[in-house]
Amino acid sequence: MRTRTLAPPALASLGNITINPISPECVGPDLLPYDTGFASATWTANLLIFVPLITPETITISQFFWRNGSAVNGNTDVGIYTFDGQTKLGSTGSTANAGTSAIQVVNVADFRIPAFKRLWLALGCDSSTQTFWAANASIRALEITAVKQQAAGWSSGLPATVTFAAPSVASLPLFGFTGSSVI
Amino acid sequence: MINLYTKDVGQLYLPLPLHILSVGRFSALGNMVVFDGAPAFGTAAWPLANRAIYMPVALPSHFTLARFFWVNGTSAAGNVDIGLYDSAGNRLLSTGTTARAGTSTVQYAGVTDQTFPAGKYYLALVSSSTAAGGYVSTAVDDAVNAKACGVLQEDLGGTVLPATMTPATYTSTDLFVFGFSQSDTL
Repeated sequence: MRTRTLAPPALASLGNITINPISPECVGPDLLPYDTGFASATWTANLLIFVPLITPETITISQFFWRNGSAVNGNTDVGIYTFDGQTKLGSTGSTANAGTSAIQVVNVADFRIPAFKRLWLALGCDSSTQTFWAANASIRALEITAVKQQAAGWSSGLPATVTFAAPSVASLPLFGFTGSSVI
Repeated sequence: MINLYTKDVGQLYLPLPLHILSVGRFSALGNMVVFDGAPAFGTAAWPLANRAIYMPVALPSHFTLARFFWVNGTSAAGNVDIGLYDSAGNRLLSTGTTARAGTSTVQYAGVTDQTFPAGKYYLALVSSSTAAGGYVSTAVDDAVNAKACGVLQEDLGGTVLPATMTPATYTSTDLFVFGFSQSDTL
């Protein structure tokens, strides 16, 4: 017997309004079996981290954010790159870290990222005493989920182009973006 | 009157992640690990030389298989063969016997890129050495739970994945982590 429906089902999944590395648009569902959560963790100076990102619909980015840990120092830049790392679609620019254990939000001029395009959600920080609220997943757990890093990649912020390398630091901060005007 | 039949409607399209894992979002195994214990990433010996392990995945959209990968343990002894099977147990793509290289590292093996439709598949890996071991998600130390997620095994006479699976009940207590990338380089 055939099943009749009164309305067509969705042909694609929906994207979230706010996205971070643990979102399904990034690596969350794949990383869950390999780590247990976030804690305050010290950063490695000038390290950049790249989390694979793909969304099922065009999304407007209004604000980037990250969560600081128990101590703040230096500057952070959060942004989005194309899959080849040769174009930075948008970022906060170098921003002084402020507010321990708090979400720090940077408003940016709204821009849109396309649906079904592989991108990278990126974070960089120039301080070795800055802490982020971060997962301490092993570097191999980060690698199998396609997370990349670039050591000493900071250049007054996220550079215009980046070079991807396998992770060398076991840390995945909580950061991301939202299309909402409030977070 | 709307008169749509589900068989005529296009499949839900979900962009797949760059890397597809044997223990991840596309099988019950990932949820089992989270539900059943404390998720962690550790090492374990391969259960038996030349034993193939078949890990089911249900992939909701088409995908490109560009490179297989596995995670070597504290030894890089012996060889592996890693591949993809359809739900009927037919081998679709594999690397052939490949020497392990590098300890405690993710090892990649490129294949000629091939695109597959959405569907149910098995990721398969056979290792010639128990010493080499591999990385596992350690929370499900219970073969029964692994069976409940559809993991299968087959003892082979060598380190080449067969053209057709002849699987048996899974008896190991670890969930080995391997998979593939949709990119030749990333």
